[in-house]
Amino acid sequence: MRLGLTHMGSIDVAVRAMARELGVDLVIPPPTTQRTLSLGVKYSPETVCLPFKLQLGNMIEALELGADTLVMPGGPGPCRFGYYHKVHELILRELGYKFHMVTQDHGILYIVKCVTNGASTRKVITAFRFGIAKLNTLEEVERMVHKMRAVEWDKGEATRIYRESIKAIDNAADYGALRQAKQEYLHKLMSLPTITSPAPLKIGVTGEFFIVIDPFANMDIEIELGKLWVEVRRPTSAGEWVKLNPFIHALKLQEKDKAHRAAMPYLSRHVGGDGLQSVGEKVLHARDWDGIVHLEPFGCVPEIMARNIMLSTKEGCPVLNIIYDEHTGKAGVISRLEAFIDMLHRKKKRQVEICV
Amino acid sequence: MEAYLGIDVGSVTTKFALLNKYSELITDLYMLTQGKPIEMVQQGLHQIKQQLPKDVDICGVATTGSARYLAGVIVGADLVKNEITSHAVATLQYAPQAQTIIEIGGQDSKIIIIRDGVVIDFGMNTVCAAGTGSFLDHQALRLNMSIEEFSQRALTSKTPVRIAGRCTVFAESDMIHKQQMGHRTEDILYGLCQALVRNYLNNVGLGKEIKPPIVFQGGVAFNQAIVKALQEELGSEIIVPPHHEVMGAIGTALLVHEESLNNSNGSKFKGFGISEITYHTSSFICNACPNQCEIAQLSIDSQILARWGGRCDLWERSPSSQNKEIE
Repeated sequence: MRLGLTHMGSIDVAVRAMARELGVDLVIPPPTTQRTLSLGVKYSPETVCLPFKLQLGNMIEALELGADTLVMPGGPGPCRFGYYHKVHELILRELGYKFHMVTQDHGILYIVKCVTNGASTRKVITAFRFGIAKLNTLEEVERMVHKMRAVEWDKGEATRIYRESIKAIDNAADYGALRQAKQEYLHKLMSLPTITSPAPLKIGVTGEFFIVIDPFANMDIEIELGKLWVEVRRPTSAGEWVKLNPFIHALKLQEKDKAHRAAMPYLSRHVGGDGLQSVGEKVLHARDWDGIVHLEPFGCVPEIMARNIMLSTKEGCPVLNIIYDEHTGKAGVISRLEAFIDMLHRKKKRQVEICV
Repeated sequence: MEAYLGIDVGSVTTKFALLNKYSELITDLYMLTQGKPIEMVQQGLHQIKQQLPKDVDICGVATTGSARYLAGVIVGADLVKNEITSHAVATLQYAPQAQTIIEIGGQDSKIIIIRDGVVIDFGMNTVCAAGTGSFLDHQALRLNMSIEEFSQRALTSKTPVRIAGRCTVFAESDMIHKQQMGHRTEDILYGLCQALVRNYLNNVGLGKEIKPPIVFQGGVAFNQAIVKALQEELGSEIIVPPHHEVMGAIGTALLVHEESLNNSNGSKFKGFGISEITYHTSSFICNACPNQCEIAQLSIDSQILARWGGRCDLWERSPSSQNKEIE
């Protein structure tokens, strides 16, 4: 079996670690590029959302490299995503690819058995723990990167160190090496020369999960915000998704649960996707964030609902909504970000003047 | 005499505004971009130079609009600012009480909500250009008339027809239908204006609290029929400020003036001589990693002035020291 992967942020680092432990033959397609997008767009239904197109592109690129098994979570629940695996499979079969598609329809145990090369339960648990440890480490470094980007003297250094750290974490063979990589890069980040002017704005990034997590899909929005002296706060993370997966559902998830509860006065049930969470995060963080950037793929029904509810909650916090589609023109996104941040800065300045 | 120059290079038009230190407009310029932003900036500078009173000292230059970074590199801008801030600053200069700014340009339309002299919210059109000047331009072209004539004829309408404004394609089929039914051209034209206003308020203006005084600016504010349609729809007076078409340029000029007060280094302006230089633009695909970014570069002769477009900063960091050969 050669297992093909689709990309989403840096999730490949964790999957690679697990595959190594289990001796699974993993085919990782090249990072998502313009070509991935073009392939996905070419063979997708026109009105389907951007994450679908990018994932289809990834699958094609993995199959080109010889993958013969694809895994696609799904099943009833989230949004249209629930039957994406079926549509993906149909399209790829029509294109003439021969592969085995493992989905949630087969049952969780079957997926685990399939992707773990029939390893013993004990080995599987060990591998998963190590993979998640890598994700946690990545997240920890990432949080520091978010902080440093906002205050670093030499714009771009934190991002460069972050890219190095992903490689180092990827290469770490055991817990010891992982801990060492974490300490090394956290230290490197913390010793960057900084600017000590007024405290940076804190901007929350919320919205549809895939777009929020994947830097190709969201046009490096976190880096762009960093350039504008903004500290990014992003409760959503790739690790959270794995922990949320039915495999590890037993783990309690504070942040998401809190957001759901906070949304209750405005939206009392799931509307699919991450709609409920987007609303909840606004309510929850209206006080401690200076503003929210809300990301959604074009045509995403859950986020359309969330966006309109977010406009009118009692807890006020400025929201900038950005809609992504297959276009790559970044200028529009940057103009809106700049204007949004400028507005918040000027507002803050005015408040300070009034207080004085 | 101290002067501050603001340049607004938009998708359809390029605007210049020269202000003195009392924030009064010395001269302005409004020209079509025609898809050639660099040439237009050069031509504009050339024309400004000729209208320039003697003993003018340019103490600051700023750029805005969708080509602001490109224009900024060419002229040596001291400040590069987004359109929202620029428009708001300029409007508050002319109408300090303004609470709402409606700006409709070639491909962008914006709404800016102001309370107590500070921008508190704004909106821009998202994935569609239906509520913008390009939409009207396109329909005027279809009816074989200039956009100026469009405005005059539309104002004479007595019984406007209802036209779908959601999308250019729907509007067009609706228009043809109404023409075939025998409706008068002016009624169709005014119907279009109403459709644009409806589209604007339902999309860009969605969820925004539009309070008077309302200021309307941007190229489309030339169109008296749109002003009338807005007035009818909002039931309130619409102020179209003088120089409404160059507001963005005026705004950046004001901002660079403000900035220069805190900064005594002098302007980075490269002088009016740059209108004589030939600039080359080109692009290539970077192969340093699998991302395959499209890198655009701007050069004079063989000297690279700037590069942009990459997902990392490999090419942007030190454009002059790096050669394309690294690939």
